[in-house]
Amino acid sequence: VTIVDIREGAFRETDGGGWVLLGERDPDSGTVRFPATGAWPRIELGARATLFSWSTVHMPSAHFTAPYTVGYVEFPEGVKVFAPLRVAPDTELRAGVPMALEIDELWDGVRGYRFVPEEEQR
Amino acid sequence: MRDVVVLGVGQSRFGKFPEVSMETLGVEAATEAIRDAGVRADRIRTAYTSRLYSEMITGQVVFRNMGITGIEMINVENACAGGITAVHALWKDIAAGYCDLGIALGVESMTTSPIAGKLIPPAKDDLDGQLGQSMPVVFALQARRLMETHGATEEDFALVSVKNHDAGALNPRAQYRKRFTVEQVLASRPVADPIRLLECCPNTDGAAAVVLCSAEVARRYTSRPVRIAASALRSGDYFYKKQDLTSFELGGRTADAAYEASGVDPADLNVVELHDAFASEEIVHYEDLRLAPRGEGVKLLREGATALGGRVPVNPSGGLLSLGHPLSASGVRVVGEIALQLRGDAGARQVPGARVGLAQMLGGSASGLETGACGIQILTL
Repeated sequence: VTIVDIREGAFRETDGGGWVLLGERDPDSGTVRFPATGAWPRIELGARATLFSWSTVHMPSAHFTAPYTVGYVEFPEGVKVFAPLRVAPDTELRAGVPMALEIDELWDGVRGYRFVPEEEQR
Repeated sequence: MRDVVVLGVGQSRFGKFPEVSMETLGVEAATEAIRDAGVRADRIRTAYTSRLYSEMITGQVVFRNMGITGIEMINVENACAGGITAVHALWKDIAAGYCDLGIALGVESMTTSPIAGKLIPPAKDDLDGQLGQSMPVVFALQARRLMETHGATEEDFALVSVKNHDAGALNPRAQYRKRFTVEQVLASRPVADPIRLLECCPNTDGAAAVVLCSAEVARRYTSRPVRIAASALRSGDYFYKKQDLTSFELGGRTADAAYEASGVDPADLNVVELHDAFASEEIVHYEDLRLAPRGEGVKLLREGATALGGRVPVNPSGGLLSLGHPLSASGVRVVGEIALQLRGDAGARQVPGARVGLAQMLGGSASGLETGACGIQILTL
């Protein structure tokens, strides 16, 4: 089965075997955004993101069955990224908790990014 | 630029009518607006029609049933702001002198559309949409931030729903005319935490229309014209520029443009109609429309200032929460509701003595953008 990435150039494997999301930075203002549009030079987003907002959704979406959890994580560069969140059912989420990036097959044949509380990753 | 007047207001029945065609709904609204204006159909020179989920040349298809053919007809789409975009475009044509009298129509048959019984889907290759973002999710993430930064509670969100359903119970054109308590709203099933079912607008079939004309033409038909003091339409900026989710920068920017063009101060407003597709977002719009200082939207709600009988009633029609949301019709309907309120023709939901009102509609979601489009009109007697 061929696995395709959800978006070309959205993430890459690091030399250490981890993963990073790829954004872009405006050389004039220093503003960072994700996903990259190609207008500005690419940068790797910081390894450490924190939870900004979240919702557990009680109806299915195109690719997820209910319930599933999604949210925004915020990177030190100031950029907020929308992503699925992998959380255990009894986890009480709080704004500001550290979130780790995971790259995995999110649904059949599509590999993408999601975040998991660092506490649960260990 | 010429003064423009809302001369006629019309609305079809609102509800779920799989057996009624889009055409029929459009005809109901347009016929009522033309009759209300007191003009002959053949005086109409321009027709703007907004729709998302209909075939091509929707306006021509509707208006052929009314003997209106051959004139300039333009069909527009701008997500939930499509209807108010149609009104705005017609306002510009009349203000600029291209046309003296025209009609703006918004029509949607959601139950016969490709998305009947479903959520509004994201574009098929939209990144965030693929990852599980939908309209309820956008507003749920915003509501969560209101709880973090504004001290908003789930009871506050329920209170918006209670308030708008109380008003909707007074509106014979509302899809749902049922009152609820805060407890009942909180007991309804969760949709996207912290948003519950009774805090979401239903999908609805319906149409709304307004007849606009120049102030000079209006003198022949009415002695109490409702004037469009300002009409502003703007589109969304990049999402990455947002500091938080608790404001629509687009909503505030469009409001400021309308206030500046009209010379109306937010404190002058007697009545407001706005996009309450989800109860919690109404609090955000209070602040973006400068009805309350930043951070004090919740306080405005709790004081009862935005309920019927309050200082500045918001959504006296019942809002999208009770009327339902025929996407492209809602932006026309809110303009019509404000016109009825200023005329004193709003029946049991009338805001007594209203002389200045504001109609707002915004919508559209796409990765990388804050939101799609926002239209605001300020109406005065």
